[in-house]
Amino acid sequence: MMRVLDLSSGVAGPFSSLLLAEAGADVITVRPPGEPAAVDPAQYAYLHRRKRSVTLDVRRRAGRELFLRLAAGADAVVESGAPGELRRLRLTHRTLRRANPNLVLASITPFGLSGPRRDWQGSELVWQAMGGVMQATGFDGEPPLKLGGDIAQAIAGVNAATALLAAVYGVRTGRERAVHLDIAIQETLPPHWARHISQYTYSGTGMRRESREVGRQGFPHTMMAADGWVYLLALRAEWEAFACFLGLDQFLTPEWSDAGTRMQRWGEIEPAFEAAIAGKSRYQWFADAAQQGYTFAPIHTAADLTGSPQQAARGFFQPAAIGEHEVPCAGLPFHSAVPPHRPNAAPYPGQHGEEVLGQVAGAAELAALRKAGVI
Amino acid sequence: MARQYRPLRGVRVLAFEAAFSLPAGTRTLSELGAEVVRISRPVRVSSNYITVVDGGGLGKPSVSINLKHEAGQALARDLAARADIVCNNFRPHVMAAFGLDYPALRARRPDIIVLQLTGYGSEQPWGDYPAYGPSVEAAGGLNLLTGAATDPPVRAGSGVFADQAGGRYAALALIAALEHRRRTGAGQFIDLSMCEAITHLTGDRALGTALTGALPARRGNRDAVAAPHGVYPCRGDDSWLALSVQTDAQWRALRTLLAASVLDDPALEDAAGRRAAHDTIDAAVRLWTQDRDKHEAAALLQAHGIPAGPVQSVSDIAFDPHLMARGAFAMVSHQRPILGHTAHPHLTTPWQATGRRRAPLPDIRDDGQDNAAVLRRWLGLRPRQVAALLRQGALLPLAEMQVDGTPPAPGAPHDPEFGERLGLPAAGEAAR
Repeated sequence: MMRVLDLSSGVAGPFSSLLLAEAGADVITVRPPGEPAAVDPAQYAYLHRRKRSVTLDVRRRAGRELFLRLAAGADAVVESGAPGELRRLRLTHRTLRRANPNLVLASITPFGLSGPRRDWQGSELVWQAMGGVMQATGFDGEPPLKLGGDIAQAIAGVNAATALLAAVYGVRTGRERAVHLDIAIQETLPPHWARHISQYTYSGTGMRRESREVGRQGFPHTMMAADGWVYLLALRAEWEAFACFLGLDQFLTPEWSDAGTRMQRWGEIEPAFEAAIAGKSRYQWFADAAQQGYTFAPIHTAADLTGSPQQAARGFFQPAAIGEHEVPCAGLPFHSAVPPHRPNAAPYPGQHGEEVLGQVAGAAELAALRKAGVI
Repeated sequence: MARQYRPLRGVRVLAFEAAFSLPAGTRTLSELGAEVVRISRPVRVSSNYITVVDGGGLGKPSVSINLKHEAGQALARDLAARADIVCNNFRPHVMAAFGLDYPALRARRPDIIVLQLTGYGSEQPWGDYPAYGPSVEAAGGLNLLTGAATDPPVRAGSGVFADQAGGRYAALALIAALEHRRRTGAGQFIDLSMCEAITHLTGDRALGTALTGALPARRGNRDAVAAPHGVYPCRGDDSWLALSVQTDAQWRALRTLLAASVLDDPALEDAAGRRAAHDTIDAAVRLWTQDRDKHEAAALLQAHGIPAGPVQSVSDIAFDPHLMARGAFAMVSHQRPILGHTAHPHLTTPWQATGRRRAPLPDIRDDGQDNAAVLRRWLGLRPRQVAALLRQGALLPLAEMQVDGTPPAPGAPHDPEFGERLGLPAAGEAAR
């Protein structure tokens, strides 16, 4: 089993080790003693489930020494300190490799370990702004909009977990020596609109946010169905076939066949269009559209998701324990052949101190460290 | 010169892929050293222009098997038996019809790793529904987390956001499967849902709703805690600065820098006070930003320890000095000029091994360009055997990639000098 020590805080680092834990790794979160409780209990539970937790102050000499003993039995370390912090802690990759020559180190930082902006401060908003996608999100004539969730940090976490798995695989198969991975949160977002960046580098074309009223297809992509919002996507659709599908027979005449005309005179189409969409449920539209090859979709709320029949068929939501509550929690978007090692619950900080540290230190030593506030 | 980093060297991947999601994932494997062979045109593909600029085909040898032909299907199964990984992003019935689904492949090679990437996963009821990235973003819950409370659900403006996310999760799943096989000898079938990838990325929000019953607040660009937090107009067309003040120390630094008397109110000393007066603060920040260049304003704020950055347009990212210094772009040289230039920059895998060089990023190949080389390497076929397969119709003839430009979308900004600004070598000119 792969063993990973996670020194990171924030979202990207813990999310990367969550992915590894869900894919069957033994992940041990290592945090300093006495940290304040998490602001958002759901986020804490989501990010730390399926892991073990020890509290250990690696800034203290005895704590650092104990950490190196743990590292001797691990495959990888994840950390998110500011560039230069590992040097201050005397936990550089060179030092770690003296304890374990096969140890992979993954550093997840706001802007990376190199480059002119390596010391800039990040935030979810700043990463989304500088990494892109945000410029294209929202509506023409209005400010760009941040995407929901901590999605830039989560994507950085997926990249970090992938980088780390590949590195460990390289070491274990003798293809590579253990490396120090440099993952910049800002850098992981631009691929998510790479095509648009390339449209500039191939054609000089930039991007403008879409119209609030008619989007880019000549009709809104987001409308209210009988029971909630539905997403209407019909790429390359012939208007006549599409209008017929929607039941808008009055717009089948040649005067409406031109897309520019429909955009200009959208006000005349809108009432009938809205009424048509409001006539069926989201899932009915979804199913009917799929029959015709149109890619509609129900626009789910965070509450709708857990009731989706597809996710039920796939067993995507698994019960997670948060305090006394047992609530449905998203799992990996694929079935892993390796069952997770630990239950779907977040440990309290230090919950596994004895069982983990007991592997590398005797009872008397641990008692002394506890007294000194190191663990 | 630093050594190339190739932890997946020697891993063979056979990819039946189109459009954007799976190609993004297998390209990551290829950049890590795996040999990814792209089987061309199993079904209709989108325009060559989008395929080329998206970059999903870079670095992948191409074999043009005619999967409608029985001998073509047999050839594909022979190649699959030599692969570590076989993957596709078609609807579930497509590969089964070609005799290339997991049971068929496992019968030939028990430890094979097979990945199927679809919009919603291959189970019913939605397994056969067609999907594009924006549909699964909506169904995965992202649109109702984006925007303000008064907005309708807002979509990501990218168009390929979920495709890229699905590709990232595919790469993760495949490398995890390789490591599992190394340890246990067992292969596996991976059934990946792009929609669930979106939900997993934002799973803390759904868990919060399950715990409290309350839907996540939609705050637009504002934050539950930090304030001020938002984007502010700068000098120039559609030019914005993002700013998020997360600590009281950062607030004091901002107040000193802005020197606006309205910000001296002691009620603004803590985040709760600042959230309550967010509109007033925004007006003062706007006064400061509106005549400034977004890049200069961000640099000045960062010099004072305040998290800020320009909202980067596509061209800003193409010229981002930090990304360039980190080698985030590779200049891809074309075998024939594309739209008048012989090379274009492409984003590479967004991480690096320190002290090591990224593997080079070769150009997209014509359909069938590598038939002889791959069939020799993987199956030991001789040139005349390959020629016979071509005559028989199991292989399709070489098809040169023709790339036609598309006119700029109406109203979109256009930079006629982009080629010179990016230093792209023009056709007929020696590469610099």
